[in-house]
Amino acid sequence: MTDTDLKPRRGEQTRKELMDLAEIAILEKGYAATSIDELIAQAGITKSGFFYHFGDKLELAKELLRRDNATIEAGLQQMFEAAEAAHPDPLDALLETMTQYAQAASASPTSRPGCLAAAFSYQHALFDEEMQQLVLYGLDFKRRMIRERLERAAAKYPPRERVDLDALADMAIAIVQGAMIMDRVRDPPPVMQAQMDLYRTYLRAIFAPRAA
Amino acid sequence: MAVKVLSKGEATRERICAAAERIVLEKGFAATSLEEIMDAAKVTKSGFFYHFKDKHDLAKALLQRYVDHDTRIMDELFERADALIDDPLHSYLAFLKMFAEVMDDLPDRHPGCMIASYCYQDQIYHREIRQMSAEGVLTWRKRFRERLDAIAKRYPPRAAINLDALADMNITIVEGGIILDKGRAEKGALPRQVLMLRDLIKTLFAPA
Repeated sequence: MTDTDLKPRRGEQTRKELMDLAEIAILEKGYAATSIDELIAQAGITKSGFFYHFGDKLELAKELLRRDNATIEAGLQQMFEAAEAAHPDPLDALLETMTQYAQAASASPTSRPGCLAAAFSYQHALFDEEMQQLVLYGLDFKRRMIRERLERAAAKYPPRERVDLDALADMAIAIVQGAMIMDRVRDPPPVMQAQMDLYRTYLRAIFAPRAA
Repeated sequence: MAVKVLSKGEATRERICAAAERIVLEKGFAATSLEEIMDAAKVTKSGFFYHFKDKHDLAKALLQRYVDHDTRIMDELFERADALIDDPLHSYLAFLKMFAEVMDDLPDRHPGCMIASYCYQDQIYHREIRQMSAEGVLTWRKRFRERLDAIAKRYPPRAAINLDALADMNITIVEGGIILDKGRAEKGALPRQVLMLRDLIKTLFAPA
């Protein structure tokens, strides 16, 4: 391998390292308190090295959310597919995936779980329309993916009463977001999985009341 | 409802807190300067420092004010529900409906929760702030749990339910609903989620 082959790779590596460091810093203490200076010091690069990769701090923040959206979307898709391969019943597959979704949301490179979109939402005045669109994208694909499975469950187990499936899908997102906040604020044990278990109990009661 | 008349000093302090809360919930505590708070509250520097020792002192005051305010709203709504309805389950369901209505009646989407705001910023490194936040959510949980105990006694739940978790869910859903409201940049998601929680509780307890 020649030197020219290595260079772009090293560049990619630095870029990834900067993003990883920034993600941790922002999840720990927020966007405003995170400085470019501390990131380059930790990464051991110069300021011009930083600006080679990102136009400014705002662009870095957006790249982080883009990466996060892509990771979560692919991760959720994978969880659904694995659960659907293991469980022929659509409700069982959904319930299994929800447990894994909560578990994945609790796993974090930081001391406490957190979500970039939530962190940015609580500093939204520092950002622009494009950031708002990235946050919205994250909410939309989660709703769409969960809703699709809720529809399959509803087709097999028609609920007794009319259920707003968008709101029911959003409820899973709200629970995960709310539980993350609780687990950031409160000491262990974490509340995440118990919160998701209640949601699962609710889904069973709606779709398969006799089995609940 | 009794209207408390604030003294001039109390009114100034309240004006500072209200302005600070609005700004902090929009951009975070670190990005908020004392100067812009003073500007927004129309107070002088000496006026500000008469009420607050420093920025950290203000941070604590904002958190306490938020927790007290939410607790008061909760207590008032529970009282109204209790006055109308004897049954613990139906009183709780009425409470959640009124709570959703209060959220729906806000002029704009929910401005945000101070506890959540701080937990996503470096305020979380302050021991006192962390303690106050944790105490806040535990106080709320205790209130919900007492009522859920009374409900579970009269209406055995249809599945084994962790009542502490269910009490927590009242807070979880509001925190998560606020994130949905903020992310969608429109109101409606939060009250809708509170009504989902109401249906969850109804479904788990009400006899089929």
